Amino acid sequence: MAKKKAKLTDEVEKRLDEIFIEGDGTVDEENEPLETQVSPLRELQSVILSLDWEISDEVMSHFLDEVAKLKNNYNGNRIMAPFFKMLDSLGRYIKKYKAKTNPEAIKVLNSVYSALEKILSSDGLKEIEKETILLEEVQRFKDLKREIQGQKGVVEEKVKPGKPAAPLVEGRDVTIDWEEGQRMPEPIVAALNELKELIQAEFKALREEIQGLADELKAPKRKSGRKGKK
Amino acid sequence: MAFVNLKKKEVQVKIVYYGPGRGGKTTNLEYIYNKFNDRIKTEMIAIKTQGDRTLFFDFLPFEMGKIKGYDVKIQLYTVPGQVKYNATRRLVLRGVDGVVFVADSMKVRRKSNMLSVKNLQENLSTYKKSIFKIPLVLQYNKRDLAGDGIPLLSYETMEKDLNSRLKVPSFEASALKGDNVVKTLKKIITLTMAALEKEFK
Repeated sequence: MAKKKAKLTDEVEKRLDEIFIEGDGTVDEENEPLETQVSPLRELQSVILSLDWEISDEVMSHFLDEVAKLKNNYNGNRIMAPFFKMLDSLGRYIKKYKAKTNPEAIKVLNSVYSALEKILSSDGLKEIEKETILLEEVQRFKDLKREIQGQKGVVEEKVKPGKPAAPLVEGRDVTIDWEEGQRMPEPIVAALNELKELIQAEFKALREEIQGLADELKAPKRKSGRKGKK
Repeated sequence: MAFVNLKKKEVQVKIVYYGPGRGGKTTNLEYIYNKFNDRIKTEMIAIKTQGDRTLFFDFLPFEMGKIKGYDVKIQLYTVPGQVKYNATRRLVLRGVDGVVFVADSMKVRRKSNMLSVKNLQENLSTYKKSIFKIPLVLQYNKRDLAGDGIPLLSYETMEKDLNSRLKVPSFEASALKGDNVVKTLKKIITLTMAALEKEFK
């Protein structure tokens, strides 16, 4: 019996070797693990990678803590500080609205992070190049801010009366006050919710239908003696 | 249970890639499809949402040719990893012959891995299958992230968390780069075929 089993296993393995001829990048088990590069963004990158549909308070708090730590480390750096301000604002917004977050917010967060990483990891970048990267991200951030504020129209800038808005590159105006009534207009929220409910209902029905079909296929055919009530 | 057609001398084996969301189940199948498409000559079916997440399942069938006189057809499935799609996950598990559990090596995903194994156990039990008896291989994915300085769980920690009771074969892997993807697949097919032979004896 054992001999037979071995025979089958051998045959299967042989066939698999023929189909999946190696050179597939199989890890050499004796190799040492890759060396870890120490990056100041290491922890932040890890949290960002873990952001998906399951955005939780725990993950977002971790994210905000990490941003606060980095913000503190780069305090006074006119290029870096705005990046952390944007990440902080985005983080607070996503934490607050979770599943109701504007889908663009995650994209902008990733984009801001990538730009930040690029600046930090490229030693050869000139100051003007860094500023250009920052400006692009600030623009993206502002576009998102405008989109979220939507039809409300007027952007309630947090600038003191009589004082002109500070240039964004200096990072003084990259905060979104998500707490103070800058929400999507009610009709849009209602329409979105309606659409969401419709999609959820559709998927639920589809899943039930598939389940039913699968059950039907699996169940042995029975006599259809029962008649429906009239 | 595998579909066996004695008349046609055909065996269909169903293998499901299970695990937490964004763990790399689809990436495993995509790697196999992209790398060996010229040999397995098949199509991969994937139903994704806008955000590139698996909505229902991915499906990759291929033929292994004749083994002991039977045409062996392998069907690889993935389940949607997101917590809310448990009904779909359970449905995909129906008739499963072997499972690859794709765990995420990132430290921040430790809890998700453990919850997903528990979920696998529960869903298998609805079909009266035991996680301790079904052919199962663990894959600790995303090991390549160590190179990017991402904090990862050590192999020992993952073994302790996920495999201390199961005691099944496990591989460190990178589905994105292809490291140990094929090794995992070969292992689960071999284990499943051996189990099926035993079952049909």
